[in-house]
Amino acid sequence: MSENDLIGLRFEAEGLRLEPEQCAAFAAATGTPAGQMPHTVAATLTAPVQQRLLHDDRLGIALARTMHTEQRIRMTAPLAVGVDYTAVATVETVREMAGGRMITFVTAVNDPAGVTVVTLHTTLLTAAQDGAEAQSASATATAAKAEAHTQEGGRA
Amino acid sequence: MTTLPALPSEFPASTIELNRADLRAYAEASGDDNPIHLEDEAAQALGLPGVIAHGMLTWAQVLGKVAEWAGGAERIYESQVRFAQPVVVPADGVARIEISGRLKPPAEDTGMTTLLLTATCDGVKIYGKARVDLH
Repeated sequence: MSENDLIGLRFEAEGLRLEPEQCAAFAAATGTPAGQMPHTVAATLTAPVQQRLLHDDRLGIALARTMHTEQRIRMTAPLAVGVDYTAVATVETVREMAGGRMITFVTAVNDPAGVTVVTLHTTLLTAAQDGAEAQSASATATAAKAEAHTQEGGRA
Repeated sequence: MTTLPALPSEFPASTIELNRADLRAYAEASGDDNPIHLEDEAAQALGLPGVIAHGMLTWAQVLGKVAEWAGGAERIYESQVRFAQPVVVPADGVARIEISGRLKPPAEDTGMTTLLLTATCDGVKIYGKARVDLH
């Protein structure tokens, strides 16, 4: 599929719920003060929808060759324990570059009333398939190029 | 709307230390089990010297410091980070990340305070843009 065909691909998950033990484990693993809901916990809440996106053949993401290059999280309302949320991830941009493919997707977390409470923008860089090209363009070199590109004002 | 207490006028510098057990704990808690954070072979196949920390682990740790400083994680409205350089975590030691931050005055229209963060590991900046907007 061409880049343009991938833009707008949507992945959904429902019945997403934060359990107290899960929040406590995540707070402990991230050094968040006890009893507080970590700001990035939405990344964990939306893991099922991210997994669908990461494993979709059309996007060609191989986890072991993928680096997370950018993340934005906006909280318009706090997340609560024991609430059933839904999440929709939509591919926003796909850019082919030397050594890999950069994919940005937007994930909206909605409460039971359908109101978006968290919006996540995620950018991943997945290195090209095994072969001479992948070996000559290591993930770090590709990430550095991506960084230079975005600093020049290119579209990330 | 209730008025929140004013934020402290300075964000103090601090240090985070991560070892491989921290990476495994985060992989388990977050569900991010990308092998480049767990196995040297996988990281080396990507041209990295060895296992690297999850970007979201270092960033969540930074945001934990911000939450502590701000008096609550719920004061963070928006966070934005670009992961510019990998943080290599040695098999038998720690990766040390030095954090500092600079505050911008509250925006007149929204009343939000912006905190611009810098984090270095072995003297190298690990983030490009790294900012937090707080209520």
